[in-house]
Amino acid sequence: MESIIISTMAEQLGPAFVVLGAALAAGFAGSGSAWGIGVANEAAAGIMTEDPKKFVSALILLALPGTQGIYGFLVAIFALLKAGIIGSPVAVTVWQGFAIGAACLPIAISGFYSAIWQGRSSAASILLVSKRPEEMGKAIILPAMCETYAVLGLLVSLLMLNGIKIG
Amino acid sequence: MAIEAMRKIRVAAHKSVADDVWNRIQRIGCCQVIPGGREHTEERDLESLRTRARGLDDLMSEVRFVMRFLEPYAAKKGGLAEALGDLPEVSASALDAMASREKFLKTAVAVRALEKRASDAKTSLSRVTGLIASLAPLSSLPYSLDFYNRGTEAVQGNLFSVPAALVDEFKSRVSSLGKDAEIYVLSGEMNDAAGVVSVIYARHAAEKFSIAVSGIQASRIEIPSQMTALPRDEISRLEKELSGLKAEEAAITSEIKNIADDAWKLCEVCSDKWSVERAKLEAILDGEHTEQIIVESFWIPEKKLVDFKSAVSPWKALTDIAVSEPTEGDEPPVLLKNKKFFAPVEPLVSMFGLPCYRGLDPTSIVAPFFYIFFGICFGDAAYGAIVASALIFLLLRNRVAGTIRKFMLVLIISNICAVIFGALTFSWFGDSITSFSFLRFLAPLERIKILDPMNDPMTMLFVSLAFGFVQIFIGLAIAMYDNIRNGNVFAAFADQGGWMIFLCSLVLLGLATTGAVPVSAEVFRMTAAVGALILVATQGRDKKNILGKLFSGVLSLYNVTGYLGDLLSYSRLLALGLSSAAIGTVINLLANLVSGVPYVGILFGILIFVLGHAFGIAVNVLGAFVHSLRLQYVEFFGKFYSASGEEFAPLAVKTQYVRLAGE
Repeated sequence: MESIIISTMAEQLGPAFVVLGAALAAGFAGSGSAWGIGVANEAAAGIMTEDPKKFVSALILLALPGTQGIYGFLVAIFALLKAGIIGSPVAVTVWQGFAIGAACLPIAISGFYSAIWQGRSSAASILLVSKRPEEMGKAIILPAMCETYAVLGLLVSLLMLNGIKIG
Repeated sequence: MAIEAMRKIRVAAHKSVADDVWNRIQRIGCCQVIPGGREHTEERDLESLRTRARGLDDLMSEVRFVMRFLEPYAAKKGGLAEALGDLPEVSASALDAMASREKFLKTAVAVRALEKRASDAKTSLSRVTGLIASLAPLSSLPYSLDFYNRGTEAVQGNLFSVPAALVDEFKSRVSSLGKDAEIYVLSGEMNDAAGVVSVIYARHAAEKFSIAVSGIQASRIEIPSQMTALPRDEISRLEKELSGLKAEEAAITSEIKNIADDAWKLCEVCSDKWSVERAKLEAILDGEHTEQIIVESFWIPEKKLVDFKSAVSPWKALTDIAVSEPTEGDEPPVLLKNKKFFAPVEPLVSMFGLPCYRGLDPTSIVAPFFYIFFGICFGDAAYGAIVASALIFLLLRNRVAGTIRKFMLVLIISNICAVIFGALTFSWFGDSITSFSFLRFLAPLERIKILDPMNDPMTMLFVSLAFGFVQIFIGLAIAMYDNIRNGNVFAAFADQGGWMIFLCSLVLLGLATTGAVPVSAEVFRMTAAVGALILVATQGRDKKNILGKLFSGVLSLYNVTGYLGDLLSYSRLLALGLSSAAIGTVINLLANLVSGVPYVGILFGILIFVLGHAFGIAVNVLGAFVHSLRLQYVEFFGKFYSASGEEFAPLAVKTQYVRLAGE
């Protein structure tokens, strides 16, 4: 009797870990992006009160912290695909599920924090282009320095997911 | 990989031809004014030019005023063509004819008059609207308003706004005056906050009345003295006035609209003509003036000297030209010179900062790396093809010049790289060929696949890092070359040479231990030790005592972490390439899922596919561009580049709305 319960638990616990990991990846990276873009928006709206024509350059800059949300979303989908929660079903053990869930954490954490700080960098860059529109190139590079660590987080998450063998 | 050689040219011209000569110089647009050297100039020699400049400034500020006023009304063609800098072409004589000062001043007077009328109408409108709003609560008052401002010989009226809760108390206090005062509470106008109360009292009881109501929270409503009739009559009179004002406003607006288009066009040509003229005057004013002659020095690219001489040859008798090479102390402005394939990257380099005049121009090395990196990061053949063809279409349809053209060329070449790289990794709209059954006929494209980053990321990681290693190595090599060129041979071999040997050995050692290189690892262990020894021996050479030298030397080896960090930074090529492929895959997955829904599924599937991939393109273009650029700026330029040059900014015809023909 007990062994049946444990085996059923094992069957369900594996996918549950995957779902948890995917939820963290999409949730945290997405929240970070929303936060970062929100911070950048405040600066963008501010400079547009002076010159509404700055909309396009402000839009490019404030879109920069948006990528973390996409990275998190990607990792979430890949984790769910890997565990067969979407697409063709596969059997996932507890430990495989746990590993997949853990593989979502790099982008969840690095995405969350880097997006917020990238948003603040974007806000500063938006103020920079409001005074010196010709410095758009440098203004784009500064926030991208923060994104590096989200990119590395994404890379590690994807490599981890790729390394976990199912079946 | 070069910088244009510059020459100093000194032009002396008789004042009678100065305007024409400087006009010519401005038209050929290859001479940058060297300011300074005005010690022999007397103020009176500049007076007439200054006056002309001031006149132009006044005209320009009037133009700006008129344009600001007309902007909401004028039909501007605007849009893409203007954004790309494709301006209507006008010949110089046509521009002179169109941009007539008299015509503009006439227009400006008309616009000023309209502006005055419009603002008057606006003021009256807000005054009347305000009056109506203030009279509205009194509309049920049965007495005419002159009771309340002038009163009669015997009585005087007052209107009060009283908080609703206090109305009854107010009433009882007033009734205590008996026959001397009569109170009337306006019915129907009582809202929760305040009620309007009218009191009419005998003049002799004025004092008694004010004592009676003192201390109660009631504010008197002032009635303007010109309001004398019944409130509702006044309101209907004001409303009539209001509709008259609105009609007047509409008439003014339509009058503005009638003249707006023509006036706007006139302003455009005037603005361009006068700003060009103003720039020329500025240049002349920077020169040395004597009673008869103006002398000015310019920087000019050496290859333009011939053009210059033939351009000013019509005034040969009244001008004199002297060319000289830049001296040691001069810091000439920088104009990059590159082959067609590399030149588009020049704006990216100058965005970071230009090299100094005697330095090295990194454009031709940045260019291939940037193109390839963008291709790997964007990483999808279909995306690349779409962006490249859209840009080629724009470039063919519009006359685009200057920086924007170069930017577009950079993107076109980079996107062609993306097509190649996408084809090599079999990424066409992500995995659309395998995920949609009706696209299966394209499956043979898989035959050119040599890499599969999705399933075999390690190979792609290796490729990315290899690109990084090559670029960092080239960076070191350039620094080495620069050191040798400047005579620092020792520094070249100690600083860059040591690192090159050390890093190269480490990498080969790693490869040899995994068996990728068929040489014994021992060899590379030795060479690595040699490299490390060179670094330990030389990196502390600025320190005074032997202990300091040794310590700094050993410590410098720690910089290997910096190189490791730089190298790992190139892993973003893999990450971004993966993310564009992955976004494409996810979109295809969603489209596939939705298209299973009966009847409407296909439609939604197509919608998701189109919008999703459009989104994918937008996000990935931005990411690929930014990160490819960052690798150049931070990892590559960090090794050797100091951007301290000043951009070559010649006196030229710079227009905003029309393009002068024959440039």
